[in-house]
Amino acid sequence: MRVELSATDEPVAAEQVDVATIFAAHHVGLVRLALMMVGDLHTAEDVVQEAFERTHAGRRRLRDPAKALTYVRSAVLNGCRSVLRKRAFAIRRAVPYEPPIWSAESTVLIGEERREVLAALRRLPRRQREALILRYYLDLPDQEIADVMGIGASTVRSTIARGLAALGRNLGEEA
Amino acid sequence: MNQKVEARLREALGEAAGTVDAAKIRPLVAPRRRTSLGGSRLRRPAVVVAGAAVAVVAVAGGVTFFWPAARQAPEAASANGTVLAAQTGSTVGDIAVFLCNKTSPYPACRDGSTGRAATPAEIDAVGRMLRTRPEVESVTFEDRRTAYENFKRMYHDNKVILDATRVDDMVESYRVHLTPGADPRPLIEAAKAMPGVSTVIDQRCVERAKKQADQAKRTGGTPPATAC
Repeated sequence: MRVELSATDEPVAAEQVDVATIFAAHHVGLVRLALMMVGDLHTAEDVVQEAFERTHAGRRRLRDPAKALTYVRSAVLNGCRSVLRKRAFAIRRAVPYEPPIWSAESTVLIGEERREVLAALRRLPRRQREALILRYYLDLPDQEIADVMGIGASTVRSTIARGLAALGRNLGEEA
Repeated sequence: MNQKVEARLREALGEAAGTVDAAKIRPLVAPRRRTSLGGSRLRRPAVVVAGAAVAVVAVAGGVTFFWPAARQAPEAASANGTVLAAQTGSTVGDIAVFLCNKTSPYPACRDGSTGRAATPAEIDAVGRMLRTRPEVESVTFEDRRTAYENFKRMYHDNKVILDATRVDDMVESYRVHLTPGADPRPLIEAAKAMPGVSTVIDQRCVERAKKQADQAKRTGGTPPATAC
């Protein structure tokens, strides 16, 4: 499970990225992140499990331990995108296990006002939605959001600004 | 205006996050060995470590396997906040005090972002503390090799797991026998507080929980929530 990252003589401990440990330490956070993207817990769990398998299979590409968490989050984000894309094309197996948290049918206990915000977030373009979640749930700095999403840091800033404005409009806040 | 939207968004995301109960999420399943890639690249299938936040009922030997079965029945596996985890290592003693190794996921073993194995001095100190406690009848130290022998006995019929596991995957532990009638809780707390200790398991509690789970399985009921 542990991965030797380079063939140099540097101290072994510093050169290892343990995929299982990263996932164990961040499992809950990753599931929560996925939940915000896909809306239901079981799908979120599936996404994280698949991301774990993919990251584990590709662990030789994980060269920089400091970037490992970003890589893992990126994998989860990709999994979410894929699920949402499949849902958009109504692929049968991609339907949520239960009504998404932002829908009125959801059995998950969330206040009405909060649910409105989640539903409004849902209506934003994908990139804005992702950037807002990474900023306002994970509190990541621009550069890390950029790395997770695979876009530039300046794009992150403008995307967040536009996303917030659009969210405000969706929610009927006064401009 | 943006500040208000920001605040509402933060609250909404926080509440959405709060709906995920750390103790109830489905545990990760070890990726299956992919033989098509050849043996040398993937010498060993993954050993999945239990998330610290997950209430693990049966962990011994520090290595926890989540069986693929957990995937087919996530409800059954996690409904009571417990994890379908196969017990590794031995079941010797009433209390098992596990020591940190480099890959321990437990917060007590983390030093920043890297794992930290228990030092010989810490291991000695834990042993001394255990032996001076009045409720302790006897203490034995279980090294990796002994743990591995026990592990092999336990999984003699499961080649996949045996192939995936090496002596180095085992963790060292102290096995404590209590005097009859002694309350294990103060000892567990004291041991948990020692540096170099990853986790402490009350084996009798685990056994009870396993029996209850088996019973519930037979009768078709839901096992009672037990945290050991």
